[in-house]
Amino acid sequence: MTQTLAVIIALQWIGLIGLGLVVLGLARQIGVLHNRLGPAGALMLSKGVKVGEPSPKFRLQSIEGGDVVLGGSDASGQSTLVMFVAPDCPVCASLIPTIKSIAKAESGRTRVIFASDGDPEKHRRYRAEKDIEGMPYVLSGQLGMTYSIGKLPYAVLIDQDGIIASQGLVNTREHIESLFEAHRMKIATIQDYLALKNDGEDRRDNSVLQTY
Amino acid sequence: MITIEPSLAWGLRIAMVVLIGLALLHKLRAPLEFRSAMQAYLRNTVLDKESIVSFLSLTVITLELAITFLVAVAWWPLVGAVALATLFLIYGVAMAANLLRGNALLDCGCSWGADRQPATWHRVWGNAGLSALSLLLAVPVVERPANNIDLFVAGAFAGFVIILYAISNQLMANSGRLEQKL
Repeated sequence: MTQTLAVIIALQWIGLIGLGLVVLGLARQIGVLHNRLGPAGALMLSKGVKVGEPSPKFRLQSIEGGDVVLGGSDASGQSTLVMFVAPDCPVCASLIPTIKSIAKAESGRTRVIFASDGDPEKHRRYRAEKDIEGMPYVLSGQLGMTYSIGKLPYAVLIDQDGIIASQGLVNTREHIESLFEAHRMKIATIQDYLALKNDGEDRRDNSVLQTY
Repeated sequence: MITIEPSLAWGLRIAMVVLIGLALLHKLRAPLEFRSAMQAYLRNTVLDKESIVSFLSLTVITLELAITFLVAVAWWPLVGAVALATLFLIYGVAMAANLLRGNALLDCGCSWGADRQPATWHRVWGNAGLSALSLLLAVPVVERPANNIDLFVAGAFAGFVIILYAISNQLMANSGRLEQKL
């Protein structure tokens, strides 16, 4: 009797652990699927300043010494792309050549400003290493907290009137370009675009149902 | 007086030693990553200085090492349990303080068993739960001779707790992605 009970207990534990491993496997697969089904455009995560709101005004000191004004209307009529990066962010490093190329392509229409926080010396080295010394680079924890930057690289596009035009997590050239595209289409993010598209499809589906 | 079955007490002790030991091992294998996580926690506070971040990183590693040893040897069950519960509480309070002051942490430094994930209120409650569970290690064990079934159940229970922790960690990482609405 005791032996039978021991076997039953052992089998139940083995079953329970097996079930636990299966659930763990499923949860991991869901995580991987989420990564693979990520959006094609920049993903807006910010809980701070929203698209369409005026950008808070900051007067920051650039890493090379001069003043950089962020926010408010731009006298030269240019938009501002604020790129939040960090030296220990590998995706940021891989995106720098793209940012340089976009800055060149948008020259005269958009100024690019790099933003981060932490040890200035570390950032000076990073700036020299990545050859972005021609572009303003500011260090401000307050700036990051204002925009609630939770993941990097994160970009914020401020239009010439100082209004947040678009923003989001940018991992590729397509993501950065989607910010400009979102601004042109007057849609805040790719999520809003998809929501509008889905709403349109829902309405179409409903109208089909009503026809019958 | 409240007592606990020996197999459950041993299982819980093994599970806690494995969990805290693996977290410690992760810190020792990636000290720079851990230091960055620590710096992120202290960002824009009076403690955000290179020397303080280095000191605190080293202190946390030393504390974890000492607590893992204390819990593993079970020489002073009450001291080990309270120290472990306090450690989990400190981590939870640190996350909560950063969430309240709007410092969005890129990596909570607690991603064992899942991907890197930001600090969230789910994680804060998870730490409170772990802290409460740690206090069970201080409960006296029923005194009776142990048999093979006890040993088997202790091992299986420990494995089950570790798997449950890994599942909940993965689900919390997934939940962050679900909140992104895509």
